[in-house]
Amino acid sequence: MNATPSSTANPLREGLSSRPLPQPCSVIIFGASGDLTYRKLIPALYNIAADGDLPAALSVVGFARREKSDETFRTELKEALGKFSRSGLNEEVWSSFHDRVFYHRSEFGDADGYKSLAARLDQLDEERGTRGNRLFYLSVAPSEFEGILNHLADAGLNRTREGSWARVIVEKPFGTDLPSAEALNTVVNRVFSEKDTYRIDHYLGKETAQNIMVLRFANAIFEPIWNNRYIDHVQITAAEPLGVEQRGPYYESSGALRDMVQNHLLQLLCLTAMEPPTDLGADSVRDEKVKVVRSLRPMSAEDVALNVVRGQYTAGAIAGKEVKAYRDEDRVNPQSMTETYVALKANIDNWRWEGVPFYIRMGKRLPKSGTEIAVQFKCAPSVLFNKPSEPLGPNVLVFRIQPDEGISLRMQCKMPGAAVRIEPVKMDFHYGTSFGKASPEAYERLLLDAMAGDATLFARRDEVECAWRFCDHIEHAWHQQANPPPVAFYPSGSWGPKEADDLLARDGRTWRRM
Amino acid sequence: MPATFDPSRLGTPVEIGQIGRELKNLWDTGDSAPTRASLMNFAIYCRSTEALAENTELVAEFTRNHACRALIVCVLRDAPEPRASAWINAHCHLSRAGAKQVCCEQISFLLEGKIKGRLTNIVFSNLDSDLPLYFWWQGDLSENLNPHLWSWIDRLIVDSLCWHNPKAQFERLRASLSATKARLTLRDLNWTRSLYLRQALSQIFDHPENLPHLREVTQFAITSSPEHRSTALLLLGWLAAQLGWDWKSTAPIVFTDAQGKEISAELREAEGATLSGLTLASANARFALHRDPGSHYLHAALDLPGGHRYHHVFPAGPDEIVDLLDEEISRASTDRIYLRALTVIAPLL
Repeated sequence: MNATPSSTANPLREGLSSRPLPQPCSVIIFGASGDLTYRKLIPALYNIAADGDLPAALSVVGFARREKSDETFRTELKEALGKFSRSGLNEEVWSSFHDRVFYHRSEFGDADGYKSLAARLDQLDEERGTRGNRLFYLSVAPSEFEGILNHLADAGLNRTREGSWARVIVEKPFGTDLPSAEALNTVVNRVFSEKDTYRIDHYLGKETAQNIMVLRFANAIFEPIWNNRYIDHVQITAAEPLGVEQRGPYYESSGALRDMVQNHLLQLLCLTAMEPPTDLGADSVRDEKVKVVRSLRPMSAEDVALNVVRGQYTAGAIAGKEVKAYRDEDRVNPQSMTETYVALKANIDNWRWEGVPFYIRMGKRLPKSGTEIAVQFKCAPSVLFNKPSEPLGPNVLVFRIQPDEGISLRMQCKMPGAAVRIEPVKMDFHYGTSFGKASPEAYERLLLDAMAGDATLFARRDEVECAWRFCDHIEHAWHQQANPPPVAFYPSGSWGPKEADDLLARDGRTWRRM
Repeated sequence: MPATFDPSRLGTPVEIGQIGRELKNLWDTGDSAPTRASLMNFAIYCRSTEALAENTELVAEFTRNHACRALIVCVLRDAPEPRASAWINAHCHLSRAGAKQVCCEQISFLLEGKIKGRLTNIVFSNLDSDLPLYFWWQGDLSENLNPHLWSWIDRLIVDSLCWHNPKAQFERLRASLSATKARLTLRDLNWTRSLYLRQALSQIFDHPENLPHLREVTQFAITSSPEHRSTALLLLGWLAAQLGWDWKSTAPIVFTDAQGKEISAELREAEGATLSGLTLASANARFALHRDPGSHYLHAALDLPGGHRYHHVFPAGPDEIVDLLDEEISRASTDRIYLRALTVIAPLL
């Protein structure tokens, strides 16, 4: 019997592999009438509760403009949970969860709404033991950030009493370029310190994205070959058959580069290219990621013309059905030059990656849905088997981020028979095959982390700004040069414009067949 | 082979020396192209042909979540003639994506009569290479669990609930554990039965305002079904060990803490869930976990100073043996805490 309770450690926690419960807190969702709240945020909180991982003292307060009561809000959420919760809806869990959920009606710009919110949160602290801890989730358009944050500050909601905390989660898009991101960061950091700011990128909450670091740094065989001596190039692809659906106006102001590349795909690039961090602390990991983004070679207008392809889908067919061109989509400018596809060649100027291009492509209305990172190794020497007359394919290590999460390795193998005939074979690891259980949703992990104060899987200010700096060079060349590179059109249902193939063909390479 | 034994559920009978070849044929002759998956060797030791059949059904279910090569070895030492028989089959399930058949192989053995070292040899010669060996020993431990076999096992799973003489079995286990240099970890499914309750209680005291009350506890009570008294005992041992309590008396059960404060405990029995209740009380706070019959959740009721009352739910955890196994295999944890709890309850066994 060597365990005695100290005043700070919970002696019952020893040896239990479940994570400690986060501290009691109130989660306040701005934009509580929005789709994200019903489809992702509340189902995530509910599923965390069903797993027993929410503190008993927890309140969820929806803040939105529409008039409704606590009870109406709860009824709507219950209905949404029936549709969107991965574990379904259990009455026992719901009966315990629902009375922690509240609705606070206010305009975002109404100062009185924040004062009454503060009073309500104080009351919940008293009634429910939430100890003055607050997690504000801004699930609103970026144009609303500044107003909401200023009102939070005016109402004193960003300040905490001793031993308590106040944090803010900010949804993407975090800015539309470097100046706007800097301005937003300044606004946010005027109200919340950087350590209390959590910029969410749900890709980082995905199991496979987290596994990149594990695969690289928990296995001795990969790191020695993870450099320009053995790796020829890396391809990062995010493909989706969907068009812009109802998001025409948003997409018109955004485009594929801002919507996907600046955040999700550059995050994947960082995880692939980063140096091993000194430890798994949030800042240690993010320090290494920032170094990668900082090392991305900036592109001049000439570089953009040469190394970046912007494409837009035309009419075509997806899954056997005719689909219209981007310019014919609802609320899209018929002369739009917005890119729905982007392919680019990025170079990381550091010792490890000197001479190893990272090809990134993202496209809508492509034949298949999938996000992956393909690390293509250099070919075997041209002796014995890999003769110029009979070249063999390279080894390729693929991280499938979604769907069908997993990892595969392509290698060469002798076909059975007297002759030496070599064919590529694939070793394949599927999460779904090896681990029968479904992974939690990314938002579950990220919300729990934010409640627990772990920012490892959230983007830091310098990461975001460096990523914008890189993308702004491209946007600038597209939109502010006298002779911008043309938009390359591709039929829906194809793998993108020919120019994207040419981008790799110039380097003697081809896009991986997904 | 017992006359009543129907081996048809075990799959295809094979010569023991030809198992590797027959398995290869099994995969080569499939109608479609299933994916064979294996992350571990999962061996089960049992002592009746009925158990052999039951374990086949259990493995079929188990492989939904845990890709493995399953070895089920039934030993009938009292059979008049020494004999060894084997069968192979595959358990296939649709993957989560729903498009792919994922299959795991099972090799079943019926070993009759007394031949020394046969179990060890059978296990060693049929392991999937480079994968860990998880060994579920059903029933009392015997000399068949010898040091050679012991040294190859990565995780030994037992269920102390089924032991006829728990005290003797625990002593045997302790002796074997201290004698071995292997990196084996011991898992007791009877300990797993209390896992969710331990987790829930621990999570209650993660709350910084609740934690101080843990040191003030003066009474606690555990309610279990009559047949799960040993499960309740392990839970009692865990609490006492983790909170640094020492025995004062075993009947009635009274502990003392480091400051000499007395803590009285009560083991109650009630029909229903394995563990249906746990209450900790101090002079001014009370923490109760309760599970209603048929419910999958533990309801926590917290009465704190100042009239503050909280209600919370936690998952109650599995009851079925296959779910307990599933839970056990899914987590990596140490047996240190378990052994510590075991030391506490030795006087009550």
